Amino acid sequence: MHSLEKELRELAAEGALDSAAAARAIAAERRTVFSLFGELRAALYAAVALVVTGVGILVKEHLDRIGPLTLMFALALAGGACYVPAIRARLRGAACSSVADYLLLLGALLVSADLGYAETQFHWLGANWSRHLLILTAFHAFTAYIFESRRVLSVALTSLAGWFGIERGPGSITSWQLVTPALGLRALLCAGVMFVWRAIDQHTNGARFREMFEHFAANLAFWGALSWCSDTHLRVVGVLALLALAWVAVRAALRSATELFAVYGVGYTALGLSIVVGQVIELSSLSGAVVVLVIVLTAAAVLRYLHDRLKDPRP
Amino acid sequence: MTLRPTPPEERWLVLARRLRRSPTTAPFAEHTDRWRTANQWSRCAFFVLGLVIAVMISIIASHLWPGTEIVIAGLVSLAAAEWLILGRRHFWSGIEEALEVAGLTMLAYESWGHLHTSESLRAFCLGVALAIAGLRLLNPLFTTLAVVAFVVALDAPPMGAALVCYGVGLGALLAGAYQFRRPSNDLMLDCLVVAMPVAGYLWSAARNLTTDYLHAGPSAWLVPVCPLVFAAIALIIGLGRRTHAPLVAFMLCVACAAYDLRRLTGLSLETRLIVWGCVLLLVSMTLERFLRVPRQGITSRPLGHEEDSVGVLGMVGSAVLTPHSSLPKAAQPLEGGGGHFGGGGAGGEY
Repeated sequence: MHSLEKELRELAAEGALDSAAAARAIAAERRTVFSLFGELRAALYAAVALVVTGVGILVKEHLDRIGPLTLMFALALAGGACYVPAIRARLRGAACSSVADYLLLLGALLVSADLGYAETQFHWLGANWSRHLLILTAFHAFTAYIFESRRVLSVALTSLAGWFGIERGPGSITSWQLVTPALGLRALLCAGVMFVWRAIDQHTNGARFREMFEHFAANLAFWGALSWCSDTHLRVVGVLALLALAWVAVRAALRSATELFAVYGVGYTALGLSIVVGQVIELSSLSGAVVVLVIVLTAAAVLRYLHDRLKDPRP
Repeated sequence: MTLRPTPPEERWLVLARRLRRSPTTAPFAEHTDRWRTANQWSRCAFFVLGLVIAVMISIIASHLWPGTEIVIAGLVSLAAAEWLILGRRHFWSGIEEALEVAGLTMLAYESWGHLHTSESLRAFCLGVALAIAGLRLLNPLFTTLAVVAFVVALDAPPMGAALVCYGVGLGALLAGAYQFRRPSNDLMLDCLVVAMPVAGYLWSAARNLTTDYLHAGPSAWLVPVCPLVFAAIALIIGLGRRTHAPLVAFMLCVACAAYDLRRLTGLSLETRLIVWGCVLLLVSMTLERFLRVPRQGITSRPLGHEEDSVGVLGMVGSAVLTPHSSLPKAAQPLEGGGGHFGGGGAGGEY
């Protein structure tokens, strides 16, 4: 065990820490107050993951025994029940507790599973079956805004990405194709839609979900550009897109003082350029290794510069 | 010139990180002697970049000095890491950690390559390299991996190795009571407390995958009983000392025991998942509600602002759990977002 109480007292005496913050920090150091928030949150996430995985297997394996209507009804009932604590909190005018928020997430996931299952069974949307993902996006977005839930908005954005046909998981790493080239346009379009949504959110919702949109859109856009980098015909466009996105990400990092955007900008660019080098020059050759070394050293230097600049804001 | 931050400097570096301030600005600068660190995301990014640099150095060395490339690449990586630490005052920045551990691992690899050694001696060489890197850089990940490598080097039977792991975990749990001046020493012990019982369980369960506990002898019961005993001790110590690592170890050990006893109930996989998920949900909900008002100082409410990394991990966690449709078997007409996949590529198979 260690305690930084002495240093905290010194900071408070120098006036570098206000008395309330110092008292809170010292109480935490002395362990007179101890929070189980992180442990409980991990347990809640594990519980949601277990239930959702179990339901997924149930839907897949026991369809014949249970029957589609019973299964759909049971999932809808369970999903609906999960929304109750959040609705009650909303009616009281209180913010959702972390338990209510995780139950809301469980409810959203059960509703997604239910609607997806129903669509595969009854083909309500016929040839336009994939629109059920758009319906889910709209429903989850609505509930996310009503209950101020970032987790449910994550589900909405993932459903939207699903409608655009964006899959999880890498392609062949050995052939330097981390993602399929066909994914590029769809990923960039999806990122564009998320940026438009972010702009609307900024005007109508006080940008409370701004970070969510930015992280999702940035990752999708970079993966789209990477997929172009891995394609022989789109390589040049991919590199240009990657550099443009890196510029936007670094500007966003400097503007919002969010270092993760700088990591995206530098990391994805270094990866994309290395993919191109791996395709054009044999990576195990001397020239290939030297070029990649130069790229990575430059990336490290740029990231260090950005890190220092973000840590030590100049007037 | 110091080889690494002194204990007081390290304490101020940790405090700066905890309060989300820069260690190079006042009032921290006067206590940290110009040491530079990185936050969590940057440290991870720098670590990956450092590993790539080490690999590229070894490829270049293989062209320029064939036959001795590993030694030269190892020495160059080590020299670069030490230059970053001593010359540029980087510590816990990621890049110097990657270069140092890669350099030492390359030298260890070269040693066992020349000696034609047994597997246990190879593990010992690797353990020594990781231990040197861990102690030099005060890195808990490397020291924990070193301990695991040393357990491999013992070449003991699975249950013996598992008991050694539990013993090391228990030792770390007890040593945690000591007041350390360096916060990194605490972190090293915390890492051992969390990782060693899990390693012990994995070791003991590796050859015990289909045990029928209803008809098994007492020795087979050691596999789930050991993590449960460790969990109980960790819970008592964690709540007594009010530290997080023993509580995390408790949760992981209970999960290990529950996984090992999965066949005991005779229930199907999906039923077990749903039932245990609901039980965990109810327990968490009850605890959260009970501790909303602090009980003897223990609360379920957060004490400060959420770290950026936790928020991003929450987003990723929710996205990972979202059900995804697979690609359709037959191509479908274009709709929405483009591409000749149904609905822009989403699939309809469940």
